[in-house]
Amino acid sequence: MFRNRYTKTFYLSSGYLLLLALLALLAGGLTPYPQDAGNVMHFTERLLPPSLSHPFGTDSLGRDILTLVLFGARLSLMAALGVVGLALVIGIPLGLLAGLKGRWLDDLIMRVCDVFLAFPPLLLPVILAAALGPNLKNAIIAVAVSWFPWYTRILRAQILTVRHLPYITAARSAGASDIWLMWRHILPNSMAPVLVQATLDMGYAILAVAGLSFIGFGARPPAIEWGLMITASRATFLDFWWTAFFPGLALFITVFAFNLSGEGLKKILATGDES
Amino acid sequence: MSYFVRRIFFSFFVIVAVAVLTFVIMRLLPGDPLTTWLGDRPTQEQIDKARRELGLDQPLYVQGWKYIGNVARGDFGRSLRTRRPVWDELKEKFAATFELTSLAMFFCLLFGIPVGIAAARHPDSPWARLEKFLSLSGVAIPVFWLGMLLQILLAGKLNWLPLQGRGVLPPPEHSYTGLLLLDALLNLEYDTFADALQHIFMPALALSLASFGIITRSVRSAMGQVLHKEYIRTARAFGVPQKRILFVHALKNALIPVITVSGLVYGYLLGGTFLIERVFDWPGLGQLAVMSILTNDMPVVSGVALLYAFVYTLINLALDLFYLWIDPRITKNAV
Amino acid sequence: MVLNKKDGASPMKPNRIYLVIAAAVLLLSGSCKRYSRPGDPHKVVYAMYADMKDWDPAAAYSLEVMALGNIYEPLHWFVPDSGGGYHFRPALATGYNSSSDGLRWTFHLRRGVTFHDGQPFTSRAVKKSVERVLRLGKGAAYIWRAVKSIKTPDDSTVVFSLSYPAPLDLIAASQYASWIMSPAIADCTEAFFRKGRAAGTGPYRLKEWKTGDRVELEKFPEYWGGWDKPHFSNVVLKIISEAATRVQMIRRGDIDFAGLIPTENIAAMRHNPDLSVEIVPSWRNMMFLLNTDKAPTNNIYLRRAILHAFDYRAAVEYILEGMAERPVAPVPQNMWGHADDLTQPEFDLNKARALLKKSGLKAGDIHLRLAYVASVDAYEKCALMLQNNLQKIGIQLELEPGLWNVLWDKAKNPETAPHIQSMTWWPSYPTPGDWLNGLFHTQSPNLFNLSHYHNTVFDSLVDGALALEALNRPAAVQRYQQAQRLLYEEAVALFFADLKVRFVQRRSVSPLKPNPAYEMIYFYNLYRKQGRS
Repeated sequence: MFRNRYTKTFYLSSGYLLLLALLALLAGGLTPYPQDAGNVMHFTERLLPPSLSHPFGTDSLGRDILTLVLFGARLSLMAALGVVGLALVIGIPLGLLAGLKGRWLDDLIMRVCDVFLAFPPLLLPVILAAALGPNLKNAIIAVAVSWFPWYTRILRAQILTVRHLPYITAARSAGASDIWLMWRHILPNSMAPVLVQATLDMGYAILAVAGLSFIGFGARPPAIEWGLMITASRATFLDFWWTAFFPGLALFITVFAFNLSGEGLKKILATGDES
Repeated sequence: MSYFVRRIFFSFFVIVAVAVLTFVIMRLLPGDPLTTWLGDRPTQEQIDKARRELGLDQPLYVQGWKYIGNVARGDFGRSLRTRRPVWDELKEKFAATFELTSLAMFFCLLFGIPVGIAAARHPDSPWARLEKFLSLSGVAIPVFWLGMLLQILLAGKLNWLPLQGRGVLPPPEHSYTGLLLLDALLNLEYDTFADALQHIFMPALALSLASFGIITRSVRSAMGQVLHKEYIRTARAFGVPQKRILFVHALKNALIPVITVSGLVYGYLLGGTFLIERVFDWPGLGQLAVMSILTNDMPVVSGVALLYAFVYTLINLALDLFYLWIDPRITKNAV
Repeated sequence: MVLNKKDGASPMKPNRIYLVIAAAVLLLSGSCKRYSRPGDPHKVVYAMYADMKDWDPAAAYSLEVMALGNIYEPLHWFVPDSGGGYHFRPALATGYNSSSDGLRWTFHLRRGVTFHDGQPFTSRAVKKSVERVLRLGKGAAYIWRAVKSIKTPDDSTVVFSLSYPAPLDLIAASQYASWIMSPAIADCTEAFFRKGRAAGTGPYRLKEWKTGDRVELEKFPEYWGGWDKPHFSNVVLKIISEAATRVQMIRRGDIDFAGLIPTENIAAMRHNPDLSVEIVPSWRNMMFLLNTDKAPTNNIYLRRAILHAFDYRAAVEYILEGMAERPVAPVPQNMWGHADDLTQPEFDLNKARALLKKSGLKAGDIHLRLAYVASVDAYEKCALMLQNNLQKIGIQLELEPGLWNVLWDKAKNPETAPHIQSMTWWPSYPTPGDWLNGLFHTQSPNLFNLSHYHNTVFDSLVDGALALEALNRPAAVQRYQQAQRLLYEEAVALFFADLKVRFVQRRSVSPLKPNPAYEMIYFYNLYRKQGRS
């Protein structure tokens, strides 16, 4: 059912993610500069290039960037879970309603989804984040609220397919109750594509939240978040490249890992892919 | 035909819904838009007077109704921040974003299609591996970070290209299209053209690098499928030259999904330039949107949302119609 | 179809494309002139951070001064002296006097002056200009509120009659609302000015305004000041909103002046032989206003404790990096009438703790909110530093960054106001009263008294001083200083920076002689030095 090559990458990337999560949890104990995660300022050690004592260099406040990247992992991973989780919580029930109840409810929900999806990818989160106020929590809400239509759509489409499968219709005509069918058959068979998408989206969630922080609508000091670190480096990055390079690298690798895991998951669940 | 009509009607509805939604959200945003209009140090009288002048003292539905009426007549209002007509701002900034994303799309296709084809034809070559890497990593790269890295390298260390902005030289004498590159050429102002090209290169490159992957993957998969089809093998058996096979037959059929994906990518690019525009100080729609949201410049935000929705819907409509033309069978299962 | 033009079926095909791209990049880089451009001997280029919003000199209230101040002229210019005093440099008025009751001000006007549109400069122009300001009521119009009537007994004399004594000499020297415009345009509508029109008496006239890109000014040959000394004949105000672009452009010589350069770039600029970093004084200062009306900051000992928990030296040295001076009074030290004998609060956490104890509030149980404008880096870093220090003495400070229009809304309302509010202030006309009246006087409705400070003694001191300003300036100064003493005693605000303005300019341009009263560069006084690029 799956080739070894794909399993390897899946496990590799999932392994990286678990490692990252672990590092994020233990960040305080791992670095020699745990206090740098607060809003301390070591003005005499500002903007030092990468060295043995500071493998990623220091930022404009004198804080060790490696430490900041590790602590930043916390917020980014939380953001990923938060966004996707919230989007699922909103999107799944709506998808269920649309797929199962059908008729005007289906139409209504689909129209609402279409309106949300007509907004370009970042415009709605930006407006919502501006409305709610600039902080990480609101950025997560803003992105989740803009994304749930995807899941609703996917779930609904899958439900519609599954509903009309021969064995389901047979079961219904044999007298099986709707609820039991939904619970035991329709739902489990429909969730797979949603879950795959959700895993793939974790990476994009991190990117979206980092992007919002970059424009100033997401995390704010003294929070430590990778996108925020990059935007803070804008005053210095030309002459002091490490202030922008490492947080961005962390973002890239993490999102990449989520993508690989998602792809691997897709293969494992064999839910059909285009390549 | 009725499908066609339904789609158009439906798109129209979506645009209106977007406008209404934006309108409502903007007015519920905290903060007083009057500060933007009046400046830092208004007196109470100026505030009251401005509120009346701008019609902000009236109930929400009255404001909304007036707005819709104005838009129908082509009046998008005046920016609270710059005092210029919203339509002018939209026109200029859209042209800038359009120019950037079109060039980025061009780069994408320029690089992406050959790599995809090579990967499809030689599944174990370095090209195939490059394609795989690009398609997975390209979408994972934070585009704003990528832009900054390019800046560090090309503008900072090597000093080959300017850091930001659209151009240093004055804009061309006659603005025919609003696209700096085209206008400069049409005006025969080669200096301005070179200047504009230098400025647009990095942001377009950054945008395209982030989207390559999607194009190469789609090309590879589409070509891959087609190349193994029966009739291709038949043609090869008959001795039809390789080149002809590749270009005339394989590509034509592989084109459909590629065009779809390109359309989607283009739409995504158009709507997602916020971050790149910020990094490169590109005076486009994304910058305008962020600026206006930050300053409660309601007419502009509504205008921007409307424009985006319109363009997006247009692209989706075009793609749907393309599908319709290609294969009328598909539409039966659509919507 | 693009691809039909390509040839070759070999797997090396993509390589050729990359060669083409590489060649293009090299071509691009070769085509642009990478060396630093020599400056044009007759043209100077200044980088503005935003576009002109208002061309109407009667309404302009912000960075438009940079252009308008070169196109128009006031009756006279305010020039601070090194000793703390000041004098007026004649512009359109060669002299003035006032009646002993401060209600009648007479200005003697310069003869032989013409406007850019050919109209002669007479007292009628002055009358129409000021009347326009009052009629529109926009921008800083309120500074002329005392004017009851304006008479023009002859072409070279204008007499202002006031309804209450006001320092018209100071008001007429303001950088807002005091520009004299041609009578031909003084009756025009807003729409007229929005297209970018101007007709003043200044050394430069408006040549062209390309919205969003630049403003071009050209020499006005008939300017009364004459053109025999070296002067620039063309001024370009280029709009560059991103700091990093300004940095790059001034390095390459594309622009001659750049402001608002990030601190981190300054060191490199100092080492650059073509550039010089000018730090010029300004009348702006930064402060955190303490809410005297809301618990627990309505407790004076808590406020005093907060004042001792701020590291003033670090703020000036590290956060603002020489871009400011430690304040000595609520009014900047280069403004006349500032108090010069106030005891400054020192950064001392022990003192802070002691004061906290005296306040009777329980350390560890105090929660305060500080609101600041998110885009200002200095506010953010200072707030973070304060948060850090306050935590050490048992006060939890919650930070609320935001946009000014949002913050202002909240801060005005006593219910939603934070305990500490960031603020930057500068005067509408050259007087210390502007701070005291604008920020701390009881106001109804409350616009900028975001400390919610209501002290009738303070109010009457300031009212008295404002009234005396026209009649007996030294007496006014006494009252101003007493009022400032009160603010310090009552710990109404945390003043942490008298801001300086930092310009980077190319050395080929003659050095600036800055004047904090006007947030502009007077290009007429500048020229390109010979033999330098």
